Amino acid sequence: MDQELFDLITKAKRGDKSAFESLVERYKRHVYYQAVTMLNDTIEAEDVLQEAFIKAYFSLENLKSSYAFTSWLSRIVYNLCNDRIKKRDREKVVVSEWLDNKIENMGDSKLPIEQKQMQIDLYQAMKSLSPEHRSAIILREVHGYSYQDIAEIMGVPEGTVKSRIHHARLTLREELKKEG
Amino acid sequence: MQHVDHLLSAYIDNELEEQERVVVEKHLQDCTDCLELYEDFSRMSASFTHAFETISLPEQAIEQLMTRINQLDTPDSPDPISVLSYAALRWGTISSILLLLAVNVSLMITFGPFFSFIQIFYRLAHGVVTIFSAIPYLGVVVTVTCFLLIGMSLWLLHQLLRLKKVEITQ
Repeated sequence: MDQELFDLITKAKRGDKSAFESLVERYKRHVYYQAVTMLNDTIEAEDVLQEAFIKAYFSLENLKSSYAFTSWLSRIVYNLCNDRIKKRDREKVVVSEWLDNKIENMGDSKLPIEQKQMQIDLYQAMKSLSPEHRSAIILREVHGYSYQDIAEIMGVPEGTVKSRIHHARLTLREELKKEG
Repeated sequence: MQHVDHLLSAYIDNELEEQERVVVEKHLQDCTDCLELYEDFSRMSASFTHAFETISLPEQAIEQLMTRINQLDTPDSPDPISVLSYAALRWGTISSILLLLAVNVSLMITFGPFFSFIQIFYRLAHGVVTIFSAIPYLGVVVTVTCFLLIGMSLWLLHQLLRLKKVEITQ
């Protein structure tokens, strides 16, 4: 963690609103990526983005170490998304909006065809993962968290994280092979 | 030959112990199946990074969020009413003490030391102490009560300092 970020977090912990706004600027992408990939729904992800930062604003003073800010914020996002997923399960709501749109819009992307196809396949394959497996692989591959951090964020043992990531990779590989 | 496919994911993520890492690397030199799996996992890892770079952010939601944060209670800027109240309390107390001293000095000059507030308070306090000292165990009861009150005050102060004003905005 760079000194500037550490200072921002420390200031925000003391109640400095402009420091917190700078943190929102820094972490908006991080929070939104996590929410949209977990929920697969842009509207819900936007709600989570707002809820997560508001929650962080009010509970920041309880954060013991500034160094743990990133994983602490991810844990907030993870819990908020998980609550929504559980609610969906109870209400039996089916969502496959974001990944579908992403696949449709890939045609407009300026990437080389091979890379574009790989991304379409990857988005398609992601749909076959359960929310737990998708979260684990996203936290690892997109956010670059260690297994220990992911275990803390998801509130599960490190061994479970290890097996979820491995299982997610095997499923993605299988799906990619089908599509290939 | 024992395959290492179950370790490959953790190997790619650099989450293996040194001993396991050596075993995996040695095995990959001899086993084409595990090597193929390793290469597939590596390719997928590289694609992930690019795949999520293209996600566009919901700028409107972020603007709304910034507005909401601005409307929330600001812990770093004290409530103007509180500031006014504290200032009024401080200056009120100082003025009262100064006024009392001024009246006392005027009384001492006009009627002599016997009629000053200090003398009156001293005699009243002496009288009260004399009456109360006649009650048995009063000292112990007062001391215990004082400690209890101090303890309760400290606890309440601690609770009060932990409170944070929450403003609900729609």
